[in-house]
Amino acid sequence: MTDMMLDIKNLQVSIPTDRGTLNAVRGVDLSISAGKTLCLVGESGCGKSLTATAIIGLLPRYAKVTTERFAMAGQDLTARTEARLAKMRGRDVAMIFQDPTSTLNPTLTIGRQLTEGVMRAERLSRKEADARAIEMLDRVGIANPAARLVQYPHGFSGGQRQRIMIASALMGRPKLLIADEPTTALDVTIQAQILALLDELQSDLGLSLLLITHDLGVVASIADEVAVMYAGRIAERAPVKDLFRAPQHPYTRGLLAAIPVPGQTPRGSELPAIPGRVPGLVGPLKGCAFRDRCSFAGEICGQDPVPGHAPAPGRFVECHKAAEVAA
Amino acid sequence: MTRSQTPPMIRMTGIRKAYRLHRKLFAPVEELVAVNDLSLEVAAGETVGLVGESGCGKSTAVSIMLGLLKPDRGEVEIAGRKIGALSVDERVRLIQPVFQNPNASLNPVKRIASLIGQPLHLHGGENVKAEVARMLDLVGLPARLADAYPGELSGGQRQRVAIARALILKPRVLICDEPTSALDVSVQAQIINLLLSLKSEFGLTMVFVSHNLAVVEHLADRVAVMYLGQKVEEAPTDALFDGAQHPYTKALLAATLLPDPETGMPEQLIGAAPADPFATYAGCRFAPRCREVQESCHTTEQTLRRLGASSVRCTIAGQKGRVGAAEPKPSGCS
Amino acid sequence: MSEIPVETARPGLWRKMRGNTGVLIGGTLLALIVLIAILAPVLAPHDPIAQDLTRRLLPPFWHDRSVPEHLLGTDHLGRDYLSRLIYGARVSLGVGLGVILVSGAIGITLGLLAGYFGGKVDMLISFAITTRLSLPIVLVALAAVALGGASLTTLITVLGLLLWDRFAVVTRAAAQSLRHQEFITGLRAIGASRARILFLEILPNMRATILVVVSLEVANVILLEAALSFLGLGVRPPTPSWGLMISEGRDNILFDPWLIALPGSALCLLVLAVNLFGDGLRDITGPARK
Repeated sequence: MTDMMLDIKNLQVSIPTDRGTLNAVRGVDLSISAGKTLCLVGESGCGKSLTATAIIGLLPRYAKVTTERFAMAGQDLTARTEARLAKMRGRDVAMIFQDPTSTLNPTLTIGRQLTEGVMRAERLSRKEADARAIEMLDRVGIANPAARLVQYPHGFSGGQRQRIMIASALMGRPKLLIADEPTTALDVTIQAQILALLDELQSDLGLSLLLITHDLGVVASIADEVAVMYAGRIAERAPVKDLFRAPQHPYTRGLLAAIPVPGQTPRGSELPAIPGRVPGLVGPLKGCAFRDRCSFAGEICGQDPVPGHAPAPGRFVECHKAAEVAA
Repeated sequence: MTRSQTPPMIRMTGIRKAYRLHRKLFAPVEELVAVNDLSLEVAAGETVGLVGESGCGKSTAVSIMLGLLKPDRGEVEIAGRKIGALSVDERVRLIQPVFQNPNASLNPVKRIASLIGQPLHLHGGENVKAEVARMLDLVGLPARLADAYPGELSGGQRQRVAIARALILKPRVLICDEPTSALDVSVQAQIINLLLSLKSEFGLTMVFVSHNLAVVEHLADRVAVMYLGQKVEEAPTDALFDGAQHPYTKALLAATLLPDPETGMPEQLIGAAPADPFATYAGCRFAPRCREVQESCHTTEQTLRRLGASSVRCTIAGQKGRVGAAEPKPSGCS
Repeated sequence: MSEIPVETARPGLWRKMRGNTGVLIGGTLLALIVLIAILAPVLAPHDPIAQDLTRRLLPPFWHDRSVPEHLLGTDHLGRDYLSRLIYGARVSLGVGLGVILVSGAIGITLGLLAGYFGGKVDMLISFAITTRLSLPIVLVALAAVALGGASLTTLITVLGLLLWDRFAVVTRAAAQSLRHQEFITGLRAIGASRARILFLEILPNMRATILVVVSLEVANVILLEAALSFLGLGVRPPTPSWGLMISEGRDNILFDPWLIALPGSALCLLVLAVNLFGDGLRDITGPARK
């Protein structure tokens, strides 16, 4: 397992609410090889963001997190402690978020926000830290980086702010970058630029990238591998081309069919929408969480456990009716 | 385009709207031209897509179309009548909006039944209760939700409520401002289907504002693309998707991500410089970001002209031998 | 944590209230005091203004000199202290309520207008708020009493016209954040009038915020009434008011300290109850505590 940048088995996250325990992540296995991009895709409430936040150890204290195995950047962190995770954060692992406007502190200069972490973590001098900040800003395509260190976030556009967030994430020279919906708040033309930047950085720096998104278009453009999440579990996992060519889980199929494609979907035709809505995750859930919305569902789908299959090398699908769906 | 005697359902001509802003203390007031020289016609029963990125003036255009904002210049006519001359009651029964964010478009302290029934209630309708029940059924919501609050509904259900509320007065025009952008993919398809079926059932005229080109392509008969307050291109949907003329439209199309891994990374046909709505432009507003820019673009005032099936605000579009230029289609009219 | 699905985002205010100790204790105390004030004619053993100069300055029950008819003793004019305390609650709560009605109506209206319309209206109202904040309440009250004479009505009017600032500031901020919500545009699109949008649509969204301000202001008003009555600017004798009772007991502070301690404690208890209640309300209606 030397080339595994991230290896997680049976991650569970539950959150106490005033209506009972919300089992937001219900046993997720994830692994990312070094230098690869894994896209974690799913709809709101499926637990994808919580999974990412749990990986980087930034969940609030009241959230209960358990794992069977948790290894990151070659270190076994199963018996993870806050201190050890904090040490990993910003060095081996870094995270960028959806909204660059609210993650940058408007009252501090860009330079200060970029350098603060590494100056403490790596005991760099101000000069060394500034030099690295300039290097990273240049790397993410901010023109004239030295002059911009003394500017405040409000002088930058949304796309530039996201670039700065990426530069800030790169400051500790991480091996794994977690990006939570990094382009959702941006315009489409800017989104294309940021995705291209992430792709370029990944191949130049040999980064592993865990990208969380709800947008299958983003997945198709950047992923090596895809994990589709539904109701707190991984429904299907596959190399990106396999997933789009031959989706095996009824949910993945439904998602792909529901997107209109210019030139392919007849104009004004009824889209094959997935009926119903995501089940509530408060309290226990029996059987397959998707069965109420699934056209393949039968009696067996109410039973636990839902079996996992490996229809091809590198593929995984969790479905009672996998054989029937594949046929 | 042949035009019959009946006036278009919506006709906007030469609309301009500017906001005066104090951006800095003690600095002179700056003018932000949100919409400039916007003309748009929507025929009865037609669906027109209005496309553009943040700050392009879509929302201002919507407010003006709804008669909620007075343009500095230009006219809006709905069903052949100036919108300023309509009484509130007439206007409300003609044109209604559906907004993007179903969390913010419904007052959180009101119950669903009263939200849906409110337009009828305000405009002297009878049998409000029965009408509400009928609308709930029409948009596919169970009757038991009538007593719920918006906070208890999912995003998709809330958007259905917003649609029911917009349609209870049986308007002839529906202005949809990004109605599916805040929704999940699977729910987005449900709402699109609902809009499609309601459109044919009520014979609605629709303006569909969105930044999602795939959704617009699916719904619209004609598409208008806006950039920094101006319409830069307008064309029948097929013509626009098959052969966009304006460099900005091309950049938008290239940046649209398809659920197909074979297409790879989106092509970037646009400069990294952000759009600045405060800058003053002698020539083309898109010139600072344009990949096909020529010397003259910075100085020549751009006007809309016909190019094939499209109407384009770009002097160099359609020129032969241009890098990346789409083959101009045989021009139907001049 | 935008990912946590909102399933029913409205666990009743009631249920939350029962789970909050501050609200529970404050609310119970407050309810008790309100009940006492309402039932004063039934509960008070004597007429609160009936003098009996033969039984002056009797001590409360824990003294050996005490008399069973006067459980909490009598004041310097021989009036039953318990009855005066009970009736005093009426004055405190009545003034509190009256002032809040006046100041709330003014402040909420101004705040809504300023926040919703912005621009010049906002500038004007913000200026009014600043002007109001620069007026020293006691001095203005003094001037008003000099002109209109000390009476309960003057007191309520003056305080009502002075204490609207906090309502205005809070509703202005809330209206500002609400006016750009899409539902407001939607309401205009269905032809709802401005008054309807302001008072029937925006205002109900501020219920919780306003409730908190009400509790803070009630406590403030009760203390102000006591202070002004103490200074002789508020309630006119012989009407029993806790502030007035403290003032009247001042002369005998060395020998009969309960004359001050009893109304003082009552005042403390009431303000504490209102504050506990308000603080608790702010906790449960504010952003969810994590």
